[in-house]
Amino acid sequence: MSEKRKPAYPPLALWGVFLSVLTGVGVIFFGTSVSTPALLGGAAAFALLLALALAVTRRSVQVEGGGTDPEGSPATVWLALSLALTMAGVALGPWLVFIGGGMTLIGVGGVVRELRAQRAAGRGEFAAQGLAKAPGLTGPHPPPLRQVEVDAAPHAGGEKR
Amino acid sequence: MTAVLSSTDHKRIGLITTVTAFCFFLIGGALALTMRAELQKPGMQFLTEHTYNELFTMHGSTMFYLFAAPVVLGVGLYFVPLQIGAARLLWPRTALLGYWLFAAGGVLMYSGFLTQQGAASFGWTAYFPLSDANATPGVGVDFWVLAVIMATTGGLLQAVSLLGTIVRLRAPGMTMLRMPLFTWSQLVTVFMVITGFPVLIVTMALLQMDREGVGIFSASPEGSVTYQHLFWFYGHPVVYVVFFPLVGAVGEIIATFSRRRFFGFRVTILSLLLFSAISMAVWGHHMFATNQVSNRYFSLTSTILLVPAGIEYFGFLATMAGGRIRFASPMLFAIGFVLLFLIGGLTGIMVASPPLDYHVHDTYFVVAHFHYTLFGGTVFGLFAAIHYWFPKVTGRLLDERLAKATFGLLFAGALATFIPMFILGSEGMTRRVADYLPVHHWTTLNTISTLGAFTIALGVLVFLVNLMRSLRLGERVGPDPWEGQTLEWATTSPPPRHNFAALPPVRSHTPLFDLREKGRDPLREVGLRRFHPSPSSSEEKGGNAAMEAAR
Repeated sequence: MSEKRKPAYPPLALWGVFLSVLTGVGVIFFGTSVSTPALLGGAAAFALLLALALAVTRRSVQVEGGGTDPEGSPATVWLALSLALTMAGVALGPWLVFIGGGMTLIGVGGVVRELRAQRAAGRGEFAAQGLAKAPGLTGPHPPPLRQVEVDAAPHAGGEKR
Repeated sequence: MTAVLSSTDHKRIGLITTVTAFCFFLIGGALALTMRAELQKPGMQFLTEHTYNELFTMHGSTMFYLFAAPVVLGVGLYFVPLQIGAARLLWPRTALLGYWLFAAGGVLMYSGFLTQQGAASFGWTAYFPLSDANATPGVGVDFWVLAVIMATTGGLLQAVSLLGTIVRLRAPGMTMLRMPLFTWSQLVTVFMVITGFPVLIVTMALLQMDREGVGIFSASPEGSVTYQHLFWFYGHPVVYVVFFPLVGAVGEIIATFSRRRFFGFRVTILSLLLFSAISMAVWGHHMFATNQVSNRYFSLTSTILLVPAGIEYFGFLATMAGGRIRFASPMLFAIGFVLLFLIGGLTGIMVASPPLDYHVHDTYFVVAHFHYTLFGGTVFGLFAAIHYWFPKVTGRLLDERLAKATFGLLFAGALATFIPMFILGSEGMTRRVADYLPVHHWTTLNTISTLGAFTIALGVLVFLVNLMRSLRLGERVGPDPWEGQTLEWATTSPPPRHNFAALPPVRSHTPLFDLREKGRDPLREVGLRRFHPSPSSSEEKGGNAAMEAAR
């Protein structure tokens, strides 16, 4: 059960347009210093580019929607704490940066391993690849989502009291 | 516990983010009480000036970086997927990584107190050159800068995950205009986060490089103004980041407890977009006194914020005006939000005017103004959201009498603490000072303010007692104790791992309300029972008690 998704980019595009107008008003009517158009215009450009990216990458709705998320991701926690140690190393010395950096590499490896196992699970390749005991892969597949049929007549919208 | 802390379930990530942020709120509040106790009368009572500087710096930093921004994202991570009918969060590892960076950042920031030269002491804004290595040397200050980078990156990652979820995982029929008000307010918040937060991350990285001896801001006489531009480009929108989602939550609470749809839903959505866009263009009003920005432009943008804000307030009032209002605790907190935030908003218009701003710049007037937006907005909005959604998260109701006592104490405390600050600020009491002279005759107002702060603390204490008690002894309720309007109420309380077994049709932003209008029971339609009986009571008794408490 899937249907074409309604586009999600218009709010972001509209927001980018608002930012562009605010930038333009500042430059044209108030002669704002370079910092203002640089920051606000940069934000506007970013919003518009992101909206464009969303517009060209539309996908169909996945009603099941659950994917094959694992119950937990210890590797992600390891990665975060390793990054934190690395950051603390900036203040405490290179020795901690090196330790944290090494731990970060291990963490990245763990996350990659989890992702690979997750993809394999998604393809139903558990048994074939012997990954059944890989960490974080105990999560259940979500049950198929049922949408109840109550009344086929479409609602007029959100304004009705 | 390990399973909870490494879970990829959006509800667990949202919950641990919210709980951790709330713990930081308690710590930040304790710092505020210490400062208020010191300021109660003239003379240094028990703090040194340096310690006082550390306290106000850590109080502001905690409340912004470690409480307000994370807590609204945490609530969003829990409820946005539920509200849009999604079974999960897109990129849950990103959100989990975000949580841990934020939590580790908090620990690192507070580690500054353990260092020889103490924690950061330059205010939560870390103005340059006050924050350079000469003015404020020490590892504790470095910790602060790095912690801000980590906590802000964490928030950014969680926002990206939320954005992806809204874009990709909406249920069938859930068009953008059928998303609930809270989800919309989260969406516009995410827009501000993804454009504002990276600027702060880069700014703090540059500041740290400057502290390490690489000439960045110190390379030019204009470096300090450049720093202010960069900081406030994040610093002002973040004020909106921390209350926008709660505007959405309060709107839904008002609609639910007025037993009608939110008035002017689509116009309110447009106003949220406009409000958030304009809020990106007002940062210069923090710099009026520098004479380095176009005061006329930033005064204009700061003043026209009134228009979208007025639309939202009109929506709140018009929804209540035609409704049959139930004054349950979530509604009381929502009304408290509306009233207190109004004070913050109206005084914001005053400081948006450069001549008035020159007079009250860096005084307690500004402190009072932003505490009415942050305490009145974020804290009251958060308490409204907690009292509203607590039954969904735990399956139990908070005790209504204790909840109303909490509301009374917090509301009275907010007025007593911050109203005197307006007068003190107008009379010239500057902020960020540890002492004042007796000749100013500010002792009475400061005493009232201090008593108000302790009243707030008492209110928070009553809330914590209620929370602990209700987690174990609270009345058990079913999926929908409030007769909610949005999809999160169409599943069990607490929701299962993948949220829904079945969804009702989505044809507006209030799918459950639509069904009730047609004379159908939304819960029955999705195969749920209205009330789950508590082990010690019959279904009839449990149900009636829950509805009685709600009404």
